[in-house]
Amino acid sequence: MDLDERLRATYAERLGEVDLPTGDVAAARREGTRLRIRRRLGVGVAAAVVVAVAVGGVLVGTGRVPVGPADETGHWRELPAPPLSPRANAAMVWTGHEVLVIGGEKHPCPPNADCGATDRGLRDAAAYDPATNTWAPIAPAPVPVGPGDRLLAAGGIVVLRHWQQDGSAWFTYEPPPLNRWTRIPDVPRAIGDLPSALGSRVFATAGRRVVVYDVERGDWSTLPADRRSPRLAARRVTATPYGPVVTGIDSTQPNDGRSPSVVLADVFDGKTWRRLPATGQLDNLWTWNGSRMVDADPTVVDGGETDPFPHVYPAGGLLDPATGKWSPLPQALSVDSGEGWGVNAPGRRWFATYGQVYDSQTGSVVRLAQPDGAADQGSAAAWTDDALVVFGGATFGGTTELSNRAWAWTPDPPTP
Amino acid sequence: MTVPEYDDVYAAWWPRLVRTAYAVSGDRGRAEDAVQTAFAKAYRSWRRISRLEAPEAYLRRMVVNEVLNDRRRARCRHEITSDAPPDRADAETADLAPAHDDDVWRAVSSLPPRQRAVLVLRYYEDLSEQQIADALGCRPGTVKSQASAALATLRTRLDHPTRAGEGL
Repeated sequence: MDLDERLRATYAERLGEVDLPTGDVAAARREGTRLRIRRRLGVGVAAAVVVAVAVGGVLVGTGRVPVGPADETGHWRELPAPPLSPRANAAMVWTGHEVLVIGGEKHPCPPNADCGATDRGLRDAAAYDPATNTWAPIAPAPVPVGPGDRLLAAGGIVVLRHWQQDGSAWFTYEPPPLNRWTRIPDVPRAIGDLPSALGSRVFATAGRRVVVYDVERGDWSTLPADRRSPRLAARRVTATPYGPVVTGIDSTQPNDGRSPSVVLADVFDGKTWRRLPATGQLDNLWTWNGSRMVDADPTVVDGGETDPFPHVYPAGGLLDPATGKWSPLPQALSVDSGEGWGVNAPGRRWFATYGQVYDSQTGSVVRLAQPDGAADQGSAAAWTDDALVVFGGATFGGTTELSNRAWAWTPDPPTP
Repeated sequence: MTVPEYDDVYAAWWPRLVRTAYAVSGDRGRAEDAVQTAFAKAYRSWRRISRLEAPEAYLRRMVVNEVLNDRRRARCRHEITSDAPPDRADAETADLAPAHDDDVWRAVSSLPPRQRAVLVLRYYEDLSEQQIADALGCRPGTVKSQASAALATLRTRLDHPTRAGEGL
C-alpha cells in the first residue's frame, strides 16, 4: 500500500470511528443571534469571546458593550506599574492573597480578523499583593500562556491548564518562598478544559466521568460514572460544597432549532448522582459564589427569525444545588442600553459582565465605567475578595496599542 | 435555485466538518468548537450564504480558518470540553483510555496545522487542488508546495519507499 492509500485508509478509519453527539443547531442559532445583536451594537466580537462571560481564570475584555441605566457606585484607582511589558490576553488568577498575572500576547489578533501568524505567547509573570499595594516578578511559566489557557486557584496553589496541539498539559505553581512550577503527571487524556476547584481539589470532566486532582496530595482520582438519563452533552463540572455538579444539555434532544436545549444538572453527593429539575437557561458557564451556582450571562435567546422559540430564554441564571431551585438573573442585568467597559470576570460575590458589575448576593447591578487610559479589549481581570483588578489589554485602531497599566475597581459601600 | 434551510445544512454537514476539523486540530473539543462557531457566524449571514452555489464549501472554508486561527482567537469556550481521542463504542471505558498507536496517524498529527489541513482536504474530503486552495484562501501553487512538504516529511518519518501524492 503506497502512502496515498495509507493516508486515505487512515483518515477513513480514524475519522470514521469518531462517535459524534448530535450537533446543537439551537446553540448555533443562539450564538448567531448574539452575533447579530452585537454587530448591531457595533461590537464585533467573535463568538468564542462572547462565551467568555463568567469563565474564571482567563478573562477578556470585549470592548464597549451596552449596559443598563444603573448609576455607577464604585471607583477605579490605578495600581503601581506592574513589572511586565505591555500585552493583551494575559491570564490572571486570585490566589486568596495575591493576584497573579501570567503570559499574554504581544501581537493580539484584532476582533474579527484572520491572523495567520502564531503568537506563541509570553511566559513571564508577576504577582500583585493588595495588602501592600506592590508588584513582584514571579517564576515564569514553563509554557507560553495565552488565550485558551486557564488558571485557577486550589488551596493556595495555582493550577495552569495549558492547551497544546496533542492535548492539555497541566502545571501547578506554588507561591514564594517555593516560587516554582511543577508539571502535573498522568493527566487523563479525555479531560475537559474548564476545571473547577474547591479547597485543594480540582474537578474536571473526562468523558462521562469526573476526575479530581488533589493539589495537596498530588494524585488523581475518578468519581463513579454519571448514569442519569438522558446523558448530558457539552458537559461542565462546577465544584460546590454539595458535591460536584455536572451540567450540560440533553444529548437526545433533537436540537431542531424549534425548542431549545435547556441546561440540566446532576449533583454527586459522594455516593450517587442525582438529577436536579431542569433549569430555564441555555448557557452553561457556572461559578460557585458561596451559596449558589451563577452564570452571569445577561443575554437572552429567542430562537432566531425562523421558527422562533415559544418564548425568550435567558442565557444565564442561578442554581442552588442543594434544593435544585433555578432562578433567573435580576432584570436589571441586561444588554439593553448604555455603555460600560466590557471586562468580564466571575468572582466569589461580584461578577463583571457585559459592562456591568453584578452583586450576586444582593442582586444589585451597577455600570462599570472604563478608566481613562485603559485599553479597550483583551484586558486580564480577576476579583480579589473586594475589588476587581484589571491589567493590560489592547486598543485596536490604525495601529494596535498595548497597555501594561493596571487598575482596581472597588464597589462603594451601600448608602445607609 | 433552491435555497437550503439552515437546519438542514447543519444536520447534513456538522458531522463531516467536525471530523475534518478534528483531523486538522487533533483536538475533538476544539474541532466541535470551530464548527459550532463557523455555523454561528454563518447563521448571522445565512441569507447571503444560503444563496451561494456551494454553501458547504463556504462553511468548510470558515471551519478550516477557525481551526487554523483557533490558538489566537480562543478565549474560553462554549464547547464540549474534551481532548479525547476518537470515541469508541464503549465510550464510558474509552474516555480515560490512551489512544492506540498508528504510525500514519501519529506522523500526520506531527505535521504543521496548515499541512494537516491540506492532507485532510485531499485525502478525506477528496478535494481538488483548486478546491483546497479555495478552502485555505491561498493559491494552488501554495497547496502543491504544502502537500509536497507534508508528504516528504511523512515519507521520511514512515521510511516509506514510494513517491506518493505526486498527482496532488
